[in-house]
Amino acid sequence: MARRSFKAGLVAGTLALALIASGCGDSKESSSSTTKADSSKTSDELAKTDCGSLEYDKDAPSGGTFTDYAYLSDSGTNTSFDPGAVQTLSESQITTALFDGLTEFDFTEKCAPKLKGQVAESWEANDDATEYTFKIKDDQVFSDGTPVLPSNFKAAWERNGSAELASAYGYLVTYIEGGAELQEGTTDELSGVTADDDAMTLTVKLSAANADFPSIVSHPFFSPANTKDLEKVGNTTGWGDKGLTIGNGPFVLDTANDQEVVLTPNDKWAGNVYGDTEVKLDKLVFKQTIDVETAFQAFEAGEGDDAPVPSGKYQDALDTYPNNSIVDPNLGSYYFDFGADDPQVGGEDNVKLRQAISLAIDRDELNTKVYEDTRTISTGLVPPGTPGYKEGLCDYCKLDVDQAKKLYQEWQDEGGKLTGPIKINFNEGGSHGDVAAIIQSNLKDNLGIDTELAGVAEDYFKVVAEPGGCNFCRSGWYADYPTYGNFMVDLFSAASIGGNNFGRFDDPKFEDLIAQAQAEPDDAKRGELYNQAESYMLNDQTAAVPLVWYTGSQVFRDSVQNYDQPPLGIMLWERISVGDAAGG
Amino acid sequence: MGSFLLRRTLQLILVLWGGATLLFIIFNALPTNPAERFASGNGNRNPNPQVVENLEKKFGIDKPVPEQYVDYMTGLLHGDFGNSYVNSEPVSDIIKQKLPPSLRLAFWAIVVESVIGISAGALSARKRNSVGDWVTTLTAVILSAIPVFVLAYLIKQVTGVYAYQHDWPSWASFPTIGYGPNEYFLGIIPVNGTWKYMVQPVFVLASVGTAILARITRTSMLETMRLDHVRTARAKGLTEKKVMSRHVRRNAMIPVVTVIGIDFGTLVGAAILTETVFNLPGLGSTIVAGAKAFDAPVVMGLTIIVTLVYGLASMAVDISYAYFDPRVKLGDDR
Repeated sequence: MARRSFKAGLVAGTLALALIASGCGDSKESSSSTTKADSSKTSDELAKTDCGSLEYDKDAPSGGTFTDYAYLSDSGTNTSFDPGAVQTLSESQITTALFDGLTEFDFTEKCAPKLKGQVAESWEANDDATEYTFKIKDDQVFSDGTPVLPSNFKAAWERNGSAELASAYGYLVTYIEGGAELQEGTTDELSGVTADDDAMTLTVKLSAANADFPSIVSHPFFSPANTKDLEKVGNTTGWGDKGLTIGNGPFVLDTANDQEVVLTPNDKWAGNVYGDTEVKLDKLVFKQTIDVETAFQAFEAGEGDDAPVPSGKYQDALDTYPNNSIVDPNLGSYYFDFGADDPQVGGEDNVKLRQAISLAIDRDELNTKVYEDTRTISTGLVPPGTPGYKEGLCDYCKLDVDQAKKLYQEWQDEGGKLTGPIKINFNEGGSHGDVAAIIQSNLKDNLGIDTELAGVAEDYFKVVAEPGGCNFCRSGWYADYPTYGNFMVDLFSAASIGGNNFGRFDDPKFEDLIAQAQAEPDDAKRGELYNQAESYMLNDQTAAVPLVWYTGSQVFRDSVQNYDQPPLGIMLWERISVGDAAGG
Repeated sequence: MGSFLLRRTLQLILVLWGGATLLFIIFNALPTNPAERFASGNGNRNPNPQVVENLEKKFGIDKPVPEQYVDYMTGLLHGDFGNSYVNSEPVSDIIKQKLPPSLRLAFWAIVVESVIGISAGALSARKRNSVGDWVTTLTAVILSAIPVFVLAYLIKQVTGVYAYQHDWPSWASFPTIGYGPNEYFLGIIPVNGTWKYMVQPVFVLASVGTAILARITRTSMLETMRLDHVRTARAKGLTEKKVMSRHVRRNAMIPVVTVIGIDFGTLVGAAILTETVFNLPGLGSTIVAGAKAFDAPVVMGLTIIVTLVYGLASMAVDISYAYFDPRVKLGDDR
């Protein structure tokens, strides 16, 4: 659940697989210059083409130090890179460099990621997707040389999901049978998990059918824990070695303090899902900076190898730095919800009004004026790069004033009448107010509809999650893990009302479709079911108005090679090369 | 002297208790629940209720407020400032990390202020209405008027960004952020290149104080120079140099020392902009970050330390009065 925090955190300034989500802010992420999508393309074009493929030069030089200024550039929000406690996409860059989980996505084709076994050799599901058995590879070891066993996963999940640790992502354990009790603190054991170290199998019973579970365990929360490390920290956590640090990923932790986190290669690393077994760098340094502007200015002064681009400087950065990720697609979606319980816009009687509103919004204007033409205009809610993604699912995600007027007139002819201005809810700060103002202007100019800007200063998402809190309310989502369900279920299911389903959308047909999808083990069929669910939600019910999809936000030096960010936002640090000239 | 120290120490303890209590009340009066704040990723998503409940227990804020207050004060008496809500770090460890950089920065800023500010002010007073006096006055006004973050940004743009982009020699270009090697002789004198990271932040932090000190020194000296005993000293035939050193400077130093002492206390905890722009996380910027994240233990713990430093600096100023003016009797209530 990332609303631009594991997302956003996962950059703020805070995506990854896993992850981490960075929330709803205006963060962006990145990838390499050679594969970036053209920002001038419409989303139709983007979806038709693809997002490109990950560039990797295996022969790039090894050695040297890469100094990152991009990811820990909001140090006041840094919490932990312990897999059990990590919250942001930024910090998960370190977590995923230290830990490998059961599964991982192969983003070689950025818009067609493939889920592969990382520590898991294979997995099997029962017929109704309520039980999974993962076979663990027998060549996996932690950086201290001890083997990675099924019990290391079970112990880690019990610790990460414990009430005492109180992880912000602790709710993920409730997907597993017994997880809810673990979260409540009534038990220390995860009853749904059976670890057989002799057979090297991990059997997981779920609390409900979920065909996306093998994808979900790619989240860092489900990483294994080294026994000695676990004995040392128990159900506590903190920055650096106060949390879990002995991993099985490509790097090991050297030092971590309030200035920097230093990683060095793990010579016992077994390799990634791309087949890489080599870490190019001698040292990877994550510098903590107080804010994005400070980090970017340091980069401009020749310090560091990459940096985040501050809001408002994207076009300048595009012009100045050919090596950037500013137009690379990220798995994030920016949209508005209609409040189902709002008497003016909610309910079956107001579908045509909602469709008219969606058609009357000029997304090009919004992208140009607010995002400097660096985001991709949505043609659906779920962004490209999500398995099962289908282009152009939304019939009302385009500017068509004539059609909007026609639908609005039909709605009025059928007895519809606005009794007052429609409230546009948004969180103050960032550029959300600018977006709301453009929508207000569009609706007035194109349909003559009066609206009221209703900014919320604090705890916006809590406010709009309350009954009646969302009229026409801003939202945004960065994928925690690249699954269709992470958008459809987490944002629009009845179970998410009071959570991240701010519009309180509750529709039996939609519920039936996502339930079928969650229980469908066949990837293609599951994708089709989710496509139907999304189409129904956007077109037949128009419960939400997608606006733009997120893109990246980093620049990097000419000497850096293989700096190509997968859409989830987690860098493949093992591939980074600083070339002959670098050194950090 | 002994009774003075005892009285001031008791006053300081009272101030620390009052400050901690006030902050405790403020944080508990705020409508924001820090557990919800944390569980929501700083407001970026709607928090999961069970996670919020677990965090409330972890933070100890599920207990009645009076019980929380007693727990906190009991902890303080034992040197336990609690743990950060954000990163679980013991606040005492955070203080150990953040206090030394703040003290160093403030110390060197005070040195710069004192050397440049007092010298310029004294020169200005002695050469009243000269070109030097006008230059000093004008510079002081300009430095006082430029916001610290603007000055810092401009300096970094020139000696950092512009210098890098135009291949300036290394002696003319400076790193824009960080501590560098972070090595010090006797814990205070930057060595092995660390000095290069400190030059700009120190001068930026000292800029306003230097300007103020120059103006105060000038005014104070001019006033002292008009006093009867100075006129008498001149009438006795003392050289101007001796008049200045024996009868003017020492007497003029009382307001100057007051400003320096208070400024040191202020700089230790309030160098927020300088710390932020130069990425030197100290007490001030950490308190601000903590306040934004509703991290009450961090804000309260670090504020107590800042208050303590401020109180000690103030006490040192009072003690110094006795040196500069023998008529001042410490411990005398009259």
